[in-house]
Amino acid sequence: MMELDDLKTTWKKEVKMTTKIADFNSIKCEVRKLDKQAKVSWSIEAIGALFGIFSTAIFTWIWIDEPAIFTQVIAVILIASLIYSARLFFGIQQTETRDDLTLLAKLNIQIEKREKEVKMLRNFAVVQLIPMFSIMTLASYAVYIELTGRVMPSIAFMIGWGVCLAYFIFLHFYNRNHLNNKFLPALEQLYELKKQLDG
Amino acid sequence: MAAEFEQLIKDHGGRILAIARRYADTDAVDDLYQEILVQLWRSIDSFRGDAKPETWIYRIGFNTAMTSVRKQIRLREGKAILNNQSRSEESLGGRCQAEILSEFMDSLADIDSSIMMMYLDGLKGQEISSILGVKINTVQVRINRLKKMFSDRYLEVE
Repeated sequence: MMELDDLKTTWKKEVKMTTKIADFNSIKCEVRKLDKQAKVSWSIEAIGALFGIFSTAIFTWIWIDEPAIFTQVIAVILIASLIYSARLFFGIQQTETRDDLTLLAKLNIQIEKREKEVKMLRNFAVVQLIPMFSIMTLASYAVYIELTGRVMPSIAFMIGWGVCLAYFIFLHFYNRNHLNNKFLPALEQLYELKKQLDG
Repeated sequence: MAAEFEQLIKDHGGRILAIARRYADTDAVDDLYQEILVQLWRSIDSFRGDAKPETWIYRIGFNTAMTSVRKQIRLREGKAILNNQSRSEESLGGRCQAEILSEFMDSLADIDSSIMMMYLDGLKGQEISSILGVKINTVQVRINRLKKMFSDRYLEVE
C-alpha cells in the first residue's frame, strides 16, 4: 500500500530541481518598471482630474469677463462631478481588509477590490456616463453661448454632440464587455478559491 | 540585502519553479516564476522576521499565483518535467511515483494542492495555517482527508 508520505522524497526532488538562473538585475528592473507604471497611471488620473477642474475654473471665472449664471452653475457642477469621479476611482483601491500576508487576507483584499469594480461597472452608465454626458453637453452649450452669443446651436455643434454621444455609447458597451469577460470571471475564481479555503 | 536575496533565490529556485509549474499553464510558467521573484524582492523586508525561508517563499508564491495572475491560472497541463525526470524510479503498478504525484496533484483543487505541496515539503501544520490564514485544525483535517483520498485511490497490493 502506498501512502501520501511516500511522495515526500519525490516532491523534495522536484523542489531541488532548478534549471533556471535568476537574473537579479532583471528582477530589479521589473520592480522599477512596475512602480513607474503605477506612478504614471496614478499621475495621469490625478493630473487629468486637476486639469479638468483648473481649466473649468480658469475658463469660467478668469477667461470670460462676466460669465452668465448658467455658465457658472454648469462649471460648479462639472467641477463637483470631476471631484466625485476622482474620489470614486481612488476609492476602489482602498480596502478595509488588513493585509497580514496570509492567502486568506490576500483573497479578501482582491475580492473587495473586484466587488467594488464590478459594482462601479454595473452602475457605470447611470452613475458616470449619463451624468457626465449631460454635464459636458451643458458645459459645452454654456461655452457656445458665451463665445457666440447665440442660443440656438449650429449644425456643426450638434454633430459634435452626436459624436460625443456615440463615444459615450461605445464606452458603455466597452465597459459591459469588460465586466462580463474579465471582472466577473475573475471574481468567480476568487470566490471559488475562498470557498475552497473555508471548506 | 541584494546578496542575501540572490542567495535565497539560488537555494530555493527549484521550490519557486515548482510552485509556478503547479499554478500556471505550461507556456505561462516563466511569467509566473518571474512574477513570484518580483514579489519576493518586493517583500524581502517581511522575510527578515520570518522563521524559515520555505514558509516565506510558499507564502509569497501562493499569494502571487492565486491572486495576481487570474487570467493565466489553472488548466494545469501535464507536468512533463516531473514525469520525465524519474522514469527510472521505483514503480508502483507500472507507474513511477512522480507520475502518481503529478496525477494526484492535478486532481486536487488549488487550495488542497497548495496544502499538499507544503505538507510534502515538511512544513508543520502551524506553518501551513499561518501561510493560508486558516485554523490549524482545518489544516490537520484537510491533510488527513488528503491522506485518505490518496490511500483510497492508490491502494495497491504488490
